[in-house]
Amino acid sequence: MNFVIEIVSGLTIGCIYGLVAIGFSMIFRAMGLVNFAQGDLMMLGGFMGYTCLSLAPQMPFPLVVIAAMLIVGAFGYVVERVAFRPAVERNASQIYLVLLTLGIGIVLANAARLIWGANPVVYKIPLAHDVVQIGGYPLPKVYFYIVGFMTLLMIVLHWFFNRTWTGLTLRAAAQDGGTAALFGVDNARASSLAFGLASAIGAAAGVLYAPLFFVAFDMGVVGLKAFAAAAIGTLGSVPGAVIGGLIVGVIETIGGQRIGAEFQDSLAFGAMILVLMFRPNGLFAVSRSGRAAVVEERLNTVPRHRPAPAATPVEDAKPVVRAQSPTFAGGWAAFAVVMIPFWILPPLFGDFALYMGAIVAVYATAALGLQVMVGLAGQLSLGHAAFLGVGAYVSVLLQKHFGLPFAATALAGTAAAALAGLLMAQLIRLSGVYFKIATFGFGVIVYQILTNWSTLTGGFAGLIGIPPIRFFGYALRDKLSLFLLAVAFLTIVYVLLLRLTDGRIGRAFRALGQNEVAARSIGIPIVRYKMAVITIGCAAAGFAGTLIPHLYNFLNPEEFTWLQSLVVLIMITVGGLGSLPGAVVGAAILLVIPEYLRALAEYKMLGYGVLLIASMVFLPRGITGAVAQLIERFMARKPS
Amino acid sequence: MTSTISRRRAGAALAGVIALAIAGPAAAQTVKVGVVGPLSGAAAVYGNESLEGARFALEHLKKKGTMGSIVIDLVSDDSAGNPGKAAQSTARMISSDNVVAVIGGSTSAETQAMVEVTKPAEVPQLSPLAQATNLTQQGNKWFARISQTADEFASNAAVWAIERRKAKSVYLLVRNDSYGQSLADAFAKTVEAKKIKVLGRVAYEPNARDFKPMLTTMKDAAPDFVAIMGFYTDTGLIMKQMGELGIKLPTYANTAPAIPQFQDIAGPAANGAYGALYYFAGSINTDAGKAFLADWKAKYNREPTQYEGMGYDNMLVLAEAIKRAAAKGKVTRESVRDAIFTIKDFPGGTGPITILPNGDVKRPLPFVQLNDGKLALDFVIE
Repeated sequence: MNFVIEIVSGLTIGCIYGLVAIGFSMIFRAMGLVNFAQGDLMMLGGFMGYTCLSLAPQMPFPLVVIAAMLIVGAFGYVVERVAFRPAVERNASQIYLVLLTLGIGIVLANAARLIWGANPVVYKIPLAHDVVQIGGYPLPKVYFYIVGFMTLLMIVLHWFFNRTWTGLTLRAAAQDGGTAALFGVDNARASSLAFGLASAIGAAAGVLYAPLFFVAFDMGVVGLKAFAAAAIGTLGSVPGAVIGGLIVGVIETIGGQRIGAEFQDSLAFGAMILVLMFRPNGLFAVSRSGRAAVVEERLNTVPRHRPAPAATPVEDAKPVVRAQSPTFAGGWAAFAVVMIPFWILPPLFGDFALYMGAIVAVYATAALGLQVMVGLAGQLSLGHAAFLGVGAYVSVLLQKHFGLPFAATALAGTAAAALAGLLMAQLIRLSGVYFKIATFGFGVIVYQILTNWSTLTGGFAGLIGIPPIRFFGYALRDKLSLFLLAVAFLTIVYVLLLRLTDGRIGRAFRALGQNEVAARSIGIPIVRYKMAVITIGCAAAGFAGTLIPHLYNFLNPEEFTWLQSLVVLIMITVGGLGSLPGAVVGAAILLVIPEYLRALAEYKMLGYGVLLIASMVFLPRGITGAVAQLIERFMARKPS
Repeated sequence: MTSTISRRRAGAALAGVIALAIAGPAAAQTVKVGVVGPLSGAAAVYGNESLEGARFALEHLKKKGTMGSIVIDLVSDDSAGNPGKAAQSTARMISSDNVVAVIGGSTSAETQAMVEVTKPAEVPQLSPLAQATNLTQQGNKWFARISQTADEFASNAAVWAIERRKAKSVYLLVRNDSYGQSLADAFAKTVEAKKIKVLGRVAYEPNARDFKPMLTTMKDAAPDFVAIMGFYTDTGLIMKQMGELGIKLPTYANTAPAIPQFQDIAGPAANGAYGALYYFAGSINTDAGKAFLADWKAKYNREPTQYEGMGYDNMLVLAEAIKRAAAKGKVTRESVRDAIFTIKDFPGGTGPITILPNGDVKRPLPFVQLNDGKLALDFVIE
């Protein structure tokens, strides 16, 4: 009995993952883009269904599914036209597009929270509780809708892609945009359609999920597991997405039952990483004349269907990763402009400014690490907070259990984070997109270890009784000395990274970030450089992390969630991708401003999302980029 | 930044006002109190409702003129349930807003993070909801709460299950976080001390959605009583899936039965669920209890929830302490702290409250049962 129930439960949840994964795959195939907002589109579908049922309680369930698909599908179509097409036409980099999807996801989730509330909502229909007995097994009636919908969808999609003109144009545009365009296929329209279709399928997943469980604004995380499913089944393959979903569902259910339900998420992502290690393009990769490889090559460099090169002036190409390649003097001037006020201002404004200053310094240090990885070398990591966590826990545990001094444990914490980074860097052998998903999975696994290894880490309750930092017998307890130490950490990391990125290595990193294929072709050993940059970025986070327990006098895994990783990513984007001073400025803005908008705290995450999108659309080089531009203009005018 | 300076000046001015107030009791005196809790995020219901209760309490005090010339000014901030943010908000209130006391937090982790700020700064902190037992085991003289510890809550629940529900064997389903685990530890300990068998104890991920596999295992173990130690969302799904699997066992669902969303999620399967609440409207027969219920209904046209009740009483207790401190001399962080520890048999809206020397509380604990969508009082442990 048990085993059958496990399998059936696993397959059902797997169907849901599969549906979301189909959306991932379709968008990936059409646009070469991983849409991180896919889970939030599912959430939106769930809420749309709820609204339909609130307005018309008697509406038949299949009709609710269709209504939600139509609304969210149209929404997706519009989002593609308004947000993505301009970016794609501007030939924006892959990282830009991924960040855009993240921003849209944050805005959707938090707008939903404001519209439908923070509490979960439930479909008040009999279907939510109806059970059918089959062979002595009680099965919820929704299961049949889920399986039925899935089957129908597969048939319809097969027919659509093979028998309809629109479906064929979608496939053609995905396979070879240039050739397709020659035959009169409108690539841009194909992208919009694919996005709309994927959104509609995500919405259906949300409506089908709702009667089984409930709908909540933060359920987009389900989508992130669907990611693992899409990756296992090879991104871009529709049947692969379904099978990947079923595999993830069954593994986490059966594995969770055997190993411990508290490790379910790790199991899903662990399975994904394992599969990708052995089959770098997923289980269903077809080596169609090496097409997968070609797609992969292109992913990190250019988006699909770009306009004719002549149409875009070189200046405008790749606005994001076109990091200012600062002259030696320029880099140091910016360093002085940012760091001098950082040292001087907080001590003038009392205790709280010192406390905030220290927190900003810690996150700015971590952000600098991420900046070098993402902004310079183009290696997007979605699990950066995990490395702050590794540094924090390793350092504090060594102090508590072995009585080692902070100077030693800070180094150990940094080394541990660097090692973990090196471990994660092994995953770069998975190319581009898969690496991003793997970094996310890595973050989840670290977080689950921190929360579940409670005998060592204190689990969810966290650690108290943090020993004070001592240097030569002198204990740093007051806010001023902690502030000074944190800013010293920041300054050290900033100086090291400035020196590092200024020379040959820095140029290699930038080359990697701008065009991996070109970098390889001029003889840069890209694998070695990628590993190096990831390790360096993670080490910086670990180094910063060692201070966290001492600032709060307390350590808890909640500081190291996926959301925190996202916040660091927003810091570097708002400050200016590729700019070191930008990382510091971004950290300061994201941490200090909300403190002074306390009355609007409810809107904070929404504001972050809007800020992310706005800064990408209006200030592609971030705030520091905009300031630099102003200065350049001013300087240019002066001599005349 | 300038606002920081002007606030500091305001702080100095405030001290002056306090001094004046002592000289001539006619002058109004403003006392700032900080409130930190989750106003957004998964735990938002606790923060928002207890804040609403606190605001209602202040309105009530003002209407009755209880505080005389003292005006309490609330400064609130959202922790989003994140401990680091809670600590940051608390630090700001203490050093920039110059609050006399801090109310909060709602979850145990954020409360612990706040303690690490209030303790060295020597600011009294009073929590309406935090339950982790060890919060009051740290020799900290600056923290108190009006909620029972997880230990007391769950061991009372265990005694109730055995004595009132005649449970002969129990099965525990536990949310894998400090809240669920500490409740389960206390429950299991008390049950075993009474020679009742714990047939199984399963921990599940806080964001788990599918519990059927573990529930079928539980069904095979055939316990006579099930205790779920979790939040209302996961507890609701567990009961829903028990219904789908046809498992009909008397179930203790912790504080969930009082939350409407729990009933929505679990649907018909929620019927008959037992729970223990911080407070259950109508279970308190004191004058203060009846008056609170009547006043609340007059304003909101519904009964207060347990969190609203707790937020209300928490504010009343703190206001009483401030009043006592003022009566004895100066309202300072230290005098308010000392006064909090003199609270004994205080007539709260949710029942009589006594703050114990370690910062814990003595107060009634009502047990309820959900019958056809309505809560009915089962038993009150005084």
